[in-house]
Amino acid sequence: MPRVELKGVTVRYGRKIALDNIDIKIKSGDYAIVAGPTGAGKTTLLKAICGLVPLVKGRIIVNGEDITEVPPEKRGIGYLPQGYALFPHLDVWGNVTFGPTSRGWDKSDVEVIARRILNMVGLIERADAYPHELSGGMAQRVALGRAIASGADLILLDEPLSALDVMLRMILRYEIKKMAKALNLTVIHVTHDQEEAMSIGDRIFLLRKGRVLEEGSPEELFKSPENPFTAYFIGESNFFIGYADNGVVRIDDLELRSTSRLRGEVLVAIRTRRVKIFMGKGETLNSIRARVEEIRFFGKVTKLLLNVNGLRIISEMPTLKIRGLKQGEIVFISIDPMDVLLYELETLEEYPEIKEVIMNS
Amino acid sequence: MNLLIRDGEYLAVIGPSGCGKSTLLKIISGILEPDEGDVLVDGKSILGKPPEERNIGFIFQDLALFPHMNGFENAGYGLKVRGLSEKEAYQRILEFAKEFGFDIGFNKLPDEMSSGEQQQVALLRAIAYGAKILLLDEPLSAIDRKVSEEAREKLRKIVKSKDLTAIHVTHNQEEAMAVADRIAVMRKGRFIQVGTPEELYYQPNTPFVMTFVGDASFLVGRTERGRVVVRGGYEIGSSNLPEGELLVVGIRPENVIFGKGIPGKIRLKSYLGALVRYEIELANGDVIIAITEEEFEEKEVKVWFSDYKLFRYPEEGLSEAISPG
Amino acid sequence: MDIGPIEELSSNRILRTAWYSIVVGFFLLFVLIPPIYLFAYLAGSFDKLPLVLNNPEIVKDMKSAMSLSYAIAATVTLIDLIAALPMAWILLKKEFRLKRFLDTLLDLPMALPTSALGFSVAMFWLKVANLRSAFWAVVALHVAMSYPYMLRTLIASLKAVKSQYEIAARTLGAHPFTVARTVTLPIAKPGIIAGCILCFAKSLSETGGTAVTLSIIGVLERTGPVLIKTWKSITEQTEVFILAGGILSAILIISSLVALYSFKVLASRWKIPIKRIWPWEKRISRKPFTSIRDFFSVFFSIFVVLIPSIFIALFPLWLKVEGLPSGLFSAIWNSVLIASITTVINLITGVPLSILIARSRSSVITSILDALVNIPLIVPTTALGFSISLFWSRGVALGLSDLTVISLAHISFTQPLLVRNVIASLEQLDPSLEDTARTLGANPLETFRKITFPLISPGIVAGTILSFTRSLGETGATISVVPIAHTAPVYIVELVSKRAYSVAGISCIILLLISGILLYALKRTGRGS
Repeated sequence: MPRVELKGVTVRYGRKIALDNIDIKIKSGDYAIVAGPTGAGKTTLLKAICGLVPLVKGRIIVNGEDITEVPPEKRGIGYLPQGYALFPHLDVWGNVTFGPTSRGWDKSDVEVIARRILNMVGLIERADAYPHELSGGMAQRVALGRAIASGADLILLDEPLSALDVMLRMILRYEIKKMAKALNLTVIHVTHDQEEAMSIGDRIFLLRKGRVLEEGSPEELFKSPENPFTAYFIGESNFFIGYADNGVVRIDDLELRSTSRLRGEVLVAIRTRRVKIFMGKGETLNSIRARVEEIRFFGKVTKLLLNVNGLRIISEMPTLKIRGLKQGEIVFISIDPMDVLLYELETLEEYPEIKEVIMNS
Repeated sequence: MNLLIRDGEYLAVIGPSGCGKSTLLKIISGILEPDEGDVLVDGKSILGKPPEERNIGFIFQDLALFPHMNGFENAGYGLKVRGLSEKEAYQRILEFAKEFGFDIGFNKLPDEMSSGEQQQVALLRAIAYGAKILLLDEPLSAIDRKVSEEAREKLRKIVKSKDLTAIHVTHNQEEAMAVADRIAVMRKGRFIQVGTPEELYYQPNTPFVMTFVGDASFLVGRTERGRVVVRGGYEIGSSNLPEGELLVVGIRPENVIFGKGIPGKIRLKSYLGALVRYEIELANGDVIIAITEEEFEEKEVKVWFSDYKLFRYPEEGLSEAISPG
Repeated sequence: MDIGPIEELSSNRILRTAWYSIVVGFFLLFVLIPPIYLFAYLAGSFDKLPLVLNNPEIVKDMKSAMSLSYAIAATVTLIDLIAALPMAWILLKKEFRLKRFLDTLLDLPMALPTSALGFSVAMFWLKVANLRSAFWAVVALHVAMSYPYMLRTLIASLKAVKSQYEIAARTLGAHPFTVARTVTLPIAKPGIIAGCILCFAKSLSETGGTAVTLSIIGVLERTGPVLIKTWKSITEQTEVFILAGGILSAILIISSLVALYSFKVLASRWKIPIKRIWPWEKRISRKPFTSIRDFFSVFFSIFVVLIPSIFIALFPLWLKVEGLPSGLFSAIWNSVLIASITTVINLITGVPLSILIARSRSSVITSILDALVNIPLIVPTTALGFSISLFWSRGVALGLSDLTVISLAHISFTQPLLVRNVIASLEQLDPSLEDTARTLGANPLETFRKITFPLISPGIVAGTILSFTRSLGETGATISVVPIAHTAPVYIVELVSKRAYSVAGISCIILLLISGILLYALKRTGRGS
């Protein structure tokens, strides 16, 4: 039985439809990510689950119970809004104990849970500090602790890391995931950062313009995205317009093999990380000659702009594998047919972002 | 602080929040005056000159587009201030927009524009009147990751095509690497190291630079008979630092190789899209991060390091030395 | 007392809707309808209107009063805008030693009830310049009276302009004057317009001080509100004069609403031209022009606003002290009583109303209620009071005591002050704070008690003090409800009309002290928030 289920959930703001017939099932104990561009409706989705916005239609079911009509204070769901919303007039202790106190717990029980949570997030020393005295990372931990202390084991996080420096973001994301697993929480974590989504999500739901476009594990969405927007938003892809017939797709002067059976005019997506470069001599089967136009160093990976029979393809390779490669050199690339992703050309009309990528290259 | 920026260079200044990056820009643009020292442009001091006389373009973190002016009025403001007529300003802006491939709603107000259009208007506004120096204060931090990745490519192209000297402040090292010729790493009001992305990545001066530009795991060890030995007596490789001294070993995740060496347990496995990140607890209790293309199902592994950097153990302690401060 | 069970009820949506309906009902019945009753009354007395309209003297008085009122209001607004703008700039942008002191001093005219202010200002200009022109004397009074309000509004609007915009303009090459003209002022325009509307409305509405001023210089001209007051006090041919007062009130209400609404619309549309930027703008951004500008504004504020306002306190020598004024303390007591009743009722009904307006999801209801709440602030209080007294004595003959009816009149124009402040505080409050509290288990009432209320209390306190002091100082509405009301401001008007200047002077000084303390309290909470 899924822990959280949304059936046909629709939310409207005035004339605008913010959530359009959302169907989602999340397993108990899963760390679910809702990813998507700004304005996709991610925050609205969380608010709908909490009961903070009314539904035009649809049902919300938690633990098998339909809670659509239940007011927010009775749902028992932990919520961390963007910006954390720490109560500015209460200190850390006051913030963390707010939930259990409001739920009518015994004073001694409240103290026990608050102490345990503060110890867990490492802020027991700062229990009497006020929110404005805390750094971004500390504030986030207090907010998390506050949500957990209220006894909720379903936690909703709205862009919990966006306000932090990139360096802190990369460290804390794993800490949150580990904490969630240790406490056996079910988490729905909203983000626009696809790297964040992939690195810690058990299951990712891609949201765009109020609709769930695709869902799957990070690996599924990376290796075999069913939707071109997924190929665009998650990870990085090259996009081309080509013509496919019988497992071969032709893009200008280049021919590639593909496992897809689609025919006719197609949209082609190739992950930059799946364009493999081989240096030096010896052609291997399926390898294609390419010239390195530009090299951009990014540390453990390097991005290369390749010229393949007049076509510009971006490849991202571990730096170690192409050490010493210089601009202007000739290399051989190989692309596995499974990684040549084909989609109906009409879908291009729905995604102007992809159109722009094609135009820019 | 001392810094020399060459003509036509794209310099990125990176550092954690509060390190003084924005203050640096304020001093160069004239919004703030330094307590000591001098600022020279083309060899001449500009100290004491108010911002309106410095002819330096500035792009703010939240863009600061004038909310009561439309796209054209915003973009053409610098030109009008310099005496150009409405018609001349319009011409000039159109030329620039065409050159860069911008498609801007000239009659829209900022809050009617998409964030992409706003960025374009802010850029036009800052360079249309001919400023040769462009300052950028976290110009991409407020937008979606995907959009910013595309925007920074364009930014660099435009700066280079117009032969501008750019100083781009950010806390995102990946962004810095994408746009910059050289990167200056700042911490607590000081420059720690300045160099090309490769120089900073392969020859970091301090553990802080190593962890700020790229990722790194740190182990503490000692030199014993010319070898680096860490906790638990595990030998890692050779050392050229003095005998017996405490040192810090910095290891990049791509240099952690599986197969033989120190035993450890995989604590967390994360998929990064064709790459996998492993958090490994070594037998001696230390934790290191490995990133590789290979996938392992086993929990028990053995690792060795194909490359590492040695630093003297910092006075303030390791955690303080690598913290954002 | 365990209020938990009561708070529990607030989770029930139906009960919440019922509560809010009661609040809106109260608003309509006690705040909105009485002022409008006037029009129903006039429509009902349609056949008797010729009595007034065919009386040449009454009509002549009406016309000259109206033109005098509007001419004064327009002049005052213009003068205050030109004088207060540079001063607002100085207080906001410059740092100098006596700045805090000057800042507090400039609020002084707000501390005095207007009748006392009228006394002081009129005396000053009489002694110093032998000013006997009705127009200029009243202008001088209104300028001093409205200056602090214009100043505060301008400072708030200029402050709200993010400094990023000004910095951006400067890096683009604009000199300070150009920045002010093309960036700061256009962005602050809505606030500036609001300040002008406030100033104009206050001038139009002013009764007590104006009556005192006109009395002192001994002229026969009357402004609109003063004319209504005069008519209400006439004891013979009352029906004609009540009707005349009603017509004039109606005209004042409608004309002020029309004038100010059109002003707002036109001014919002008007764009400050930024087509050209002239070379001389660089020069006037520097000294000596800036120094001249600063000198002028400081000079104006001290010699036209400050000193006339406290003139009575400065020159007690020419007042023969004949012992303490006998009626003053009972008058003060009445004023305090009325202000207290008014403020308490405002709190009980105004706070829920503010929540309703600020948090309502329907923008239609919000804008309607919002507009309605603001009307009593713009319309001349004397006219309001006139209508209210008609409503409660004729329309609803419940035989209420004078004190009660005066309080009801005061509620109509003080509640908006409280409501606006509370709405502003609510709008600044991050809504996700309340959202989070609900998800943590707090029902709506508990959320209000533990989260919302503590965070908006500075706004509530500020609104309460504003409401209280406004009621204390009100003359026009009080008199038009009960012409012989014994409140402090009215007392001063009477003393002056009887030429008992020294008694009036001492009363003013005492009132200055009391109000000064209240004002100080207001500033302290303002700083806190």
